[in-house]
Amino acid sequence: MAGSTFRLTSACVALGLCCMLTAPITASAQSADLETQRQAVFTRLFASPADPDLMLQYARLSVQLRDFEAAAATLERYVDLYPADAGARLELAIAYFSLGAYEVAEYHLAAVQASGGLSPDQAARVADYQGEADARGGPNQFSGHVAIGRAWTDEADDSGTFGSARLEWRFDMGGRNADEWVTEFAYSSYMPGEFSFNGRQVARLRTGPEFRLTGDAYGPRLQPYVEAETFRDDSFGFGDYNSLAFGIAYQNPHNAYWTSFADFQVGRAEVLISDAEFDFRDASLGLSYRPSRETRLRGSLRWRDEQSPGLDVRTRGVRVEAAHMFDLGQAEMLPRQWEVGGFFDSSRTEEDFGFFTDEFTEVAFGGSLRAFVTDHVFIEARATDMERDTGGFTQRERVYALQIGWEF
Amino acid sequence: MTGRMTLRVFATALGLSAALIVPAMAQQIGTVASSEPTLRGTPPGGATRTLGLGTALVRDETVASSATGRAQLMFLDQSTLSLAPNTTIVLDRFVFDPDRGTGEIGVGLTQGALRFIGGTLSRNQPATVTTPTASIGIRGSTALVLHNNGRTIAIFIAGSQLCIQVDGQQSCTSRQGGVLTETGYAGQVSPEFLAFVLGLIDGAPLPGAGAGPGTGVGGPNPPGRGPVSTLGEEFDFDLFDDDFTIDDVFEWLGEIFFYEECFECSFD
Repeated sequence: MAGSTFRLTSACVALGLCCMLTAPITASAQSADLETQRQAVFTRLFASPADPDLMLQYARLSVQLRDFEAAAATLERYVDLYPADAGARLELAIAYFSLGAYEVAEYHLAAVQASGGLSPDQAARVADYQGEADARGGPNQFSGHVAIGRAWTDEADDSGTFGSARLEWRFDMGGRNADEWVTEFAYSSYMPGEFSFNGRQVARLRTGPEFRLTGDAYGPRLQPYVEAETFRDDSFGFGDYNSLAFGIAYQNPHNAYWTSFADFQVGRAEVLISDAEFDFRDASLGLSYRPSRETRLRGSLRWRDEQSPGLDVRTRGVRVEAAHMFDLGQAEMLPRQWEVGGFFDSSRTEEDFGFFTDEFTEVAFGGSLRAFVTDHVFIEARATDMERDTGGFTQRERVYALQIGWEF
Repeated sequence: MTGRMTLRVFATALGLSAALIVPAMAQQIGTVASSEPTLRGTPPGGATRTLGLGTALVRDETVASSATGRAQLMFLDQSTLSLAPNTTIVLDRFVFDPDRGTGEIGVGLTQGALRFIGGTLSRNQPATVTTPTASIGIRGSTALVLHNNGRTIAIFIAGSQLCIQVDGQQSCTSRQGGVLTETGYAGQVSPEFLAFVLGLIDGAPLPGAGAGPGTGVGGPNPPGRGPVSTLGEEFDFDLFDDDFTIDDVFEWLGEIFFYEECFECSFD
């Protein structure tokens, strides 16, 4: 039974991977088709520049192509031709908001608000966008989440409270390129109770300036950082450590679809039970692909080397993951916004004790479904299947989790 | 005498015809997409004419708005220019290969204020707005440019980068709302000044009803969503946060098996 489940889930993951590999081709074809349609509409619009139907068609196609600048240009003209249409001005404000032009968005939102005659739904939207534009225009921006829930393990047969939290603070350092100092604190904890060894707590603080390397608003960003981490577990304290690392994180959105990223760090950790220290080097390198604004696919490779007296540990891994957001619309009894995700992760670890070596591989895959019951509060269900193979001896575990969280 | 007069009349008529024919024969680069009836255009070698909705614009044409007039011009590469009252521009560079999406676009701003919203040509190389005191480069971008009383001000609205060049010295900004003048980067635009410039270019917003055209622009852009560039690029703000989801617990459990096995072994 367990074997057939494993085969089924493996097949699902393989299918997901195939979708990931073919998604760029499909998306590229769709994009080319949309661009052809838009060019045809533009040709007609060029001949009849004040035709409202053509203007809206052109703006809609531009939005589908993620070209919000073209949508803004058309809506500017629409608002110029139909200045009493406050709904059109609201859409113009949203187009500028999407482009990160928060000052211009706020100008139009204020005009919409002052125009009168808005429906309650439009008034609520204006208030939402105004609040967000106002917050993003300031020198300090905070984002993050807090989540708590319960997790169950199948084989180990324990369950416990799981919590996670993250706070990111972006401080605008001023200057012509709006470089930011980014500080992130993250914490997660699993507490299955005193009769289990599985309790874990980890906290991380990472801070450093984030520079725009080419001076472009959306060019490559580089963050040199210092990171402190503390890790505690219940299994006799073997794994408890504190660490300090220096690193560089990089990401570069090459175009609307592809983003490359990398993270390199070197550090030293102190094992608390023995005061022993080990040095570590971590690296990850990856690509992210967005066939649409709602869908994200990521693939990454990672390396980790740990060196301590008498033990060298080398881990090499690969991970692919996908997430898709969707909107159910005004469905009764069901939340509107959803996010479905999945991942596949495989790694191989070699432990060199000097007088003998040990190797094991781990394979994990899983899925998640998140429903936003409000704009910020979500409920999430997750399931993961993992397998460890140590020289022909195989261990498996499944973990299920249910969480409620607040995202801000 | 009569012959000389006939010749003069003929020459005048020929000249007038040429002035009327030149705009028709010259290659169209844009069109008037909206305007108030006082917009005037002077094509190269031609007479000044009134530019109405849909009038073809040609290269090197001088376009001037009156003290009360505004206009929006749309170009073949899908760029648009909005002109404030009392603005004079010269469409002095426009080369566009629609098949390759390459070429260049350049405008001279003699006086007044404009908003440039980029199209295909300014995606990869800057569109230029040249004023009597500076040259503005707008790449992948939307920008506001003013020239009045011998002073140039440029405001970066969206896109990749905005630069100003004066006497060979260049200064750039990628901060949205960043202001450039002849002396370089001058900080972020104040809401009051921005409202003044937008009011100048677009006129004061009118009171109105809440009906909307429904372009769908709000769909993929809820208030909580991060910004996107004019080319559709966006940053992935949770790229390095994977260690702190519940998946991290699952990774730990991999280690747990080992410890538990050893613990049980030690009691066997």
